[in-house]
Amino acid sequence: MVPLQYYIIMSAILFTIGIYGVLARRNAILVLLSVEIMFNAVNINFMAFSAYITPATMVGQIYTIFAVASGAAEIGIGLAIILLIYRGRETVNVDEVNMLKW
Amino acid sequence: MAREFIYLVPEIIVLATALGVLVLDLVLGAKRKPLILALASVAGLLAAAGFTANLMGQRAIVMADMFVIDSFGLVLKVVILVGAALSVLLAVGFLERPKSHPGEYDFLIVASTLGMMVMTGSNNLLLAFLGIQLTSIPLYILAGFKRNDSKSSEAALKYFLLGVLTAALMLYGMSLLYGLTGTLNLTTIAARLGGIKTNDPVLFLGMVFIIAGFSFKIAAVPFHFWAPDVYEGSPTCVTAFISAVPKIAGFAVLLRLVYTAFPALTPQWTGLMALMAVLTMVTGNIMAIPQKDIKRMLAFSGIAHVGYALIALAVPGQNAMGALVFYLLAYSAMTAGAFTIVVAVGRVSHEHQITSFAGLGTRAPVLAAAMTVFLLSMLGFPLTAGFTGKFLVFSAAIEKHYVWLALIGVINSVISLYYYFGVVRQMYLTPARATTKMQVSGLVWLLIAIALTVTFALGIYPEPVINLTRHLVVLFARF
Amino acid sequence: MSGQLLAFWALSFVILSGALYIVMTKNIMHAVFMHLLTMSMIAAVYGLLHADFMAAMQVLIYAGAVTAMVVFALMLTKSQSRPDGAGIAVDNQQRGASFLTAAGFLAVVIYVLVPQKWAVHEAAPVVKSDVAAMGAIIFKSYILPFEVISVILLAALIGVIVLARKED
Repeated sequence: MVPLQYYIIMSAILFTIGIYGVLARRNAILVLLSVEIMFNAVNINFMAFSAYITPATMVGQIYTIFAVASGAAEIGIGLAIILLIYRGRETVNVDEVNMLKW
Repeated sequence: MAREFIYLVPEIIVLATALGVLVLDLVLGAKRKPLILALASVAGLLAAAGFTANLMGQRAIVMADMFVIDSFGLVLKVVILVGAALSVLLAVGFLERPKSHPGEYDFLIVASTLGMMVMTGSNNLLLAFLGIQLTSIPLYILAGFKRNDSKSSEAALKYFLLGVLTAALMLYGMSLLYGLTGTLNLTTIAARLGGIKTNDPVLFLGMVFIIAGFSFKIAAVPFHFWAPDVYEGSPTCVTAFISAVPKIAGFAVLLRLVYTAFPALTPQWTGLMALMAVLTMVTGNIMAIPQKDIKRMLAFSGIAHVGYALIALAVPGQNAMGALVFYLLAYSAMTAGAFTIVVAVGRVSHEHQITSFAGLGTRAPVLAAAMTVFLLSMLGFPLTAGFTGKFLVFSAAIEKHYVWLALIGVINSVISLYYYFGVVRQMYLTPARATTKMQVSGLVWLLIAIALTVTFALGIYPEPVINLTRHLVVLFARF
Repeated sequence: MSGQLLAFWALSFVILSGALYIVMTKNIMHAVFMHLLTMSMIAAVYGLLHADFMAAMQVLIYAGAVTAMVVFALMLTKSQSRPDGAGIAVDNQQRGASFLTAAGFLAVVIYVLVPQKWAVHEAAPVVKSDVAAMGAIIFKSYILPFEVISVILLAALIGVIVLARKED
């Protein structure tokens, strides 16, 4: 049997990789993929806790169903915004999108 | 179960309004379409506000412990609904341009409002998260609604990327809290935390991440980076909505989280809130001074106001909660009023520099006078809503022996004099570049009149509302 | 070492190195395909947790739908090369600072999480992957979130159409 701790640490490392990707990438599509990694790390956490801590109520699994659905909606929005930016200025690089100062 | 739906009637009306607007958009002809759609949305939102007010005094947890009905939530829902109705009206002029998709615009505003109602009432972290999603997703799109304006697209991109990043952080915190307590229900979390050491570092980490995620919605420092850019880039009528209404829901969900789920950790979160309040006030006021764009200036001023309101969260108690509700009401009235005038001026000058207000005192004396009132109210001048709000918040802080926090608030109010006066100076002391009288539509006058009435009413005769916030605003969790 | 533990180590290795590849590679197309692999391996982790239904959802939505959407976006934006054929850097200038931030975050989280004793249920990890039971829970206790997510999807759908539609 795999100890719960292993899942939690693995997901923490995965989440951190996602953070690095969000901060270091300039291509907006790659930033989105990094955010996906972070969301999936959270989902692993919920699934593992659901299996080990509340096997009967399945709260974590149900959370994950909702999170996956809303995550997919978010990716759709994100890609639409990226297309909009691309149409306006032929770039998808976050740091070139700088008419407004951060 | 069937009995429980009575408590959800306002939400159901708002949902029906959203869907009805979409259908109307298909069947209506192009003539007067923006106005008719706006009036339909306003009718739905105000009907929902009426039903919400009708529920006042009820206390219940419905839908399998998911959704709380208490007067704290109901009062804020009324404010949210009225605010949303006013911002729908404000957008009519913007949507009368060709190819501006009025049906989709009104639908998104109403859908976002529904999200805020869900946020305000949620007693479950999953539902709170979905409420935040339902609030944010339409706002990302509305920020980019001027599709051929690349500043608007840029605002949408920044809002979206920072929004999902903080959402991920918040969800990570929720997962840790779930691991500790085995539930996402706020009331149950509080009960289960009784068996856990309150100095558990995982608990603290989880709480900090969740508070961080909620703070993004209210634009508290250090989660404020999106605000100036989004305010500047979005269409101004969207900025007016974003600046006034979602912050109310953000504060509601934040207060419900810390009061309901973390009474055991009160010292920890009050410390966090006090720190965030100071950072937010100082950053907002300092950064507002050099701004040249009125929308950016109001963005930072809005951040500063979030800081004042956070003081009320840092000193828990009935009075502080009432002060917070009052402050949010005052803040949304004066912000909505100020942005309405920015919209009116922007329609003539087609820019949003503070210098575009030059000579407004001669070109449109009434408009300039109203703007002066809103700015004085933001400053906290006596006889305006802002003064009463600040007075209540600071006295709640002093009552709990947080004199230093109130003092920092007062000092910050003095700093804000500088940049608010900058606008007043432009309006009255700088000669106008154009001398023509400004044309302002009747709808805009109506909105300004409403905002002015609320601002003065809360400033001159605030007793009824104060009594309301003191005695009626009760949280379900405390009973 | 039990078979499950072995499977966990293998999956973790693939997931973490896949994720690292996604955030490091210079080629966006490779990143997207590695995303497909990583998401499928996460589905396998759900299988390891006996959550077969969620594993199937993960493959369908993250590995399938999301990857397909991203591929479309890539094709529509031609984001990796300029018209003159020169490549465009996909990383910004703050790689060092990003690395330090991420490392700091990881250090804090690991420091907090490693010594944690979770209140593991004695029957764990026995998971009913009973879709019928899950459906009953969703439509009884979670009916309100279910309704809310339907509105979220509708709003997202309409929003995407408004933003991405070409004006004629």
